[in-house]
Amino acid sequence: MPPAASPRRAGPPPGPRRLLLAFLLALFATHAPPCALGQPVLYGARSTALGGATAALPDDAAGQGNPATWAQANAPAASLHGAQWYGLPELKLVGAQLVAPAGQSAIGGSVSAFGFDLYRHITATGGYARRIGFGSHRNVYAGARAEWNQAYIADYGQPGALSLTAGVLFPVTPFVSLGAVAYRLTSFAGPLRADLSRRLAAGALWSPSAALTLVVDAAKAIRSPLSASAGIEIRMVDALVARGGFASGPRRTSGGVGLRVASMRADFAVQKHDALGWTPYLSLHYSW
Amino acid sequence: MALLLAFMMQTASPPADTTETAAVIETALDMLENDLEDAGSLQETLERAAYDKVRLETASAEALRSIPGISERTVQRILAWRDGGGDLGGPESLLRAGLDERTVALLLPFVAFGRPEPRTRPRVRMHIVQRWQRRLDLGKGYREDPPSGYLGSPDAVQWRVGMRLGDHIAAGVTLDKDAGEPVQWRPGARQFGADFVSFYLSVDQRGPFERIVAGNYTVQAGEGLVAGQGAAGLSSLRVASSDRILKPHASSREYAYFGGAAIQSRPLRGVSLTGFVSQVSLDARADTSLNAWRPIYTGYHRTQTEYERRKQARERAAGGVAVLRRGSLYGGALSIHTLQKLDASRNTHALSVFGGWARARWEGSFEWVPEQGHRSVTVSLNPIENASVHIRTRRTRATGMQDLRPHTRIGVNSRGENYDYAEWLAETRFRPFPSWTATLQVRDRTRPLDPLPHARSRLVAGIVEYRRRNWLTLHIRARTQTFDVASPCRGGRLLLPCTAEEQRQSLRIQVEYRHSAALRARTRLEIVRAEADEAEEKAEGVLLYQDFRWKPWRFMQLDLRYAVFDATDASARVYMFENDVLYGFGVPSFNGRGQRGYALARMQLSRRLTLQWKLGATRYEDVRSTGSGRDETPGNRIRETKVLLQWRFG
Repeated sequence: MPPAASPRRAGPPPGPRRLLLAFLLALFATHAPPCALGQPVLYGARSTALGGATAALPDDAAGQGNPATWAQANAPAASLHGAQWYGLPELKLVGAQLVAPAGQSAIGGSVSAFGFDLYRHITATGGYARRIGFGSHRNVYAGARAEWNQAYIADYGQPGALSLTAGVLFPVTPFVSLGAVAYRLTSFAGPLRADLSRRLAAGALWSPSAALTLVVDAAKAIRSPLSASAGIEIRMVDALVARGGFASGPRRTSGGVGLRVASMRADFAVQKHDALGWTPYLSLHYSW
Repeated sequence: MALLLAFMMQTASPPADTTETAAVIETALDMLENDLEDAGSLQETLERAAYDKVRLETASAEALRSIPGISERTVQRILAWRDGGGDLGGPESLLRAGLDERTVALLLPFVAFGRPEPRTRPRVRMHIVQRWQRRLDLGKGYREDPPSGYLGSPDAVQWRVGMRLGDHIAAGVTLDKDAGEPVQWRPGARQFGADFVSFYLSVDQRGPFERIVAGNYTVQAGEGLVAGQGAAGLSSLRVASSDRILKPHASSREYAYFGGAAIQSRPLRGVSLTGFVSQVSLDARADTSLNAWRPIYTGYHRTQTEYERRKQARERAAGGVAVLRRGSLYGGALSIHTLQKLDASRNTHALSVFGGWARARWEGSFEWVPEQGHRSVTVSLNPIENASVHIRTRRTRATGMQDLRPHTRIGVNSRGENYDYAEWLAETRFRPFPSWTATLQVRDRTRPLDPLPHARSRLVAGIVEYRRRNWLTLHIRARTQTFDVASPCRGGRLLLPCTAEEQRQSLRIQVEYRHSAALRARTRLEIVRAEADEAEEKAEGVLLYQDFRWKPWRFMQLDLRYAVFDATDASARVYMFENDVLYGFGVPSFNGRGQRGYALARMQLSRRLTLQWKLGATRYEDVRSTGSGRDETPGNRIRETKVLLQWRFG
């Protein structure tokens, strides 16, 4: 992570925003942002509501971290995401994602921005996913995306780095899926590359009926403790789903709802961090 | 034996090399974490047995008994079927002989069916193996000139040439150079290029002779003397041996062999007589504190100091083994006389008496070596199907023989450590539902651990496995181990060592999915927690890895792994078995924080030519260097590569 900032010029006494910057840098000195909190940079409200247990969650092109799932999209889809971490207006996350399928393949890309004027983390990704048979009538979904991370820190600079994330998804049966994703498996260039948090997540999904989905994940970031997460999604009526989730390392609980109208879907989630408080998430998803 | 049978059942295809025997080895390692050196021997044994298949139609009873994991009952059924005129033309004939499907699946990798094709001239088969490996990030020893640094290059090279002439004659040569060792041509110092050379010529099953070996060989008889391999604990799956006593030594394990000539014969039905003579050179160093020479058994000659110790002593050995077998009972005696020439000659002699029995429900063996104070008794019971109990007591004093080569001593392991322990192990396996299997293992062992005379260790493991049509397997293992360790005394007990207790618990969750013949995926999560009486905090270890085995083409197989590990300290270290090139073996343990990845490509370039290539890398977090001493490497990354080329013809 970026080392502590060394002011180059004398200035006014630190205000609340600079204290927030100092807090952020102290937090990120031991954990990469925002992976310190057990999440990849761009995360949709559905994923958040399920506790982040989305390594094996199929049929969602809306920012859930595993690029393999892009290959499951039947139609082009665009999504917008927004979050306000711990209710602080300075810690806003906004992002957009686009997935375009083409036959057995799909391409996807996203941009997101996190932070405020003194600290901003910008991520731009682009990737490719494909459905492969590997000699069986069952399919395997595999995907990879390149990710450019750039952090702007006031009075310090704008270090950046390119990294590669890869994922795989196995629909084992119509009811069970297995998935794995290696976040920032390797990084190539830029001064920030040594500070990017690498993370391996593996998960399973069990969906015994169209009304119920259960997901569970185990994730280990190299610099963070093991994180276990689980989530449940219940379809109340055709247009409305309710979600709940739990994650450890650090401990978080989450919940949310999803509303589907025609090709539009709106997901809302809240997550409670045991120490830092509540974070609201909102995602809008459109496919055509 | 039941354990080995269970482990062997994990394979469905003949284990042609490391990548195929991996399933057997990895499962066996669950019980072997403290004896990994013996696990390497096990792997070589399995690979060799898979290569030199036993032809059921013509094999002697002794050859049948040498098949890994085979029981005496199975041997008797095969012999009875064959003697009664039954054919052994394929696996189905074994079913007709009365063997069950599990047993047949166990035998398949190691047996050949049918009679050999009549030939006017004996068929000549050869295989040549060339292996090269190198650390890409070099340690301090390669950056300093001798005498501080290593004498040779960081390349580790091995050549193996093997030849079989018909079904009865075999010969082989192995040349090996470890990393850091020099390649020198000095006939006067008996160095011919490679640092280590072994060779053998073997004639099998001719007339009354079971085997005649010239060159390098190992001797295995009874429970204790396992020349070249070392006796081991019950968990190492070592069982008493009374049949194939001689084995040609084709391994690169230095010092783990005899050199000379040996004959095993069968003068009468049920009687086996073996004689052997040997002379080998040993490394030795001068112990200035005792004003005496001490032999060294590391096999490394990388530095000037190590090189000067090379072949400074000689060992001559001669011995014989007599075994009498009647049905399921056998008994025998082994005598070995050893003369070591260092600064002064030392003569030692040992006589071992051993025996055993093998019934359907129980089998056992014993060994007694009066001179070395070695007593060993092993009993295995299978009271009901899928349940077994193994009990072993083994005690060795071996006073005054510590300097002898471990491989010529009775009751020590290959590191020369005495066995003085009692242990029992019980295992039961049951199947509550068709897809579910549950296994419970309990082990209790008492052995001296300096300075505690009766240190005790206990292990309880529970394994639950769910298998759905052989393409989805969920494996959950929970294990707890308790060790007695020495600790500083409190309360005035200054003369007696005090005992503290250490605990190590682990939980493993593994999911394996066989998508198709071309792709297999495996995910493993392992959590380890270690706690010592004195420590205020528990040490914790975590391992999470994702494996893929992919066959993109018929001639190529790829093994890929990405792993993340995080262990507080060595007490919570995590192990993971790695697939490797042929004759390679890797069970690295990790402590600290980092990631590990490797790729192993195995290509069948033609019917005769195989190429294997492995590239692995480990990156640690928050360290400036890895390793220690001459192997200390700056930076936080260690990479290594291995290339193996195997050519078979004839």
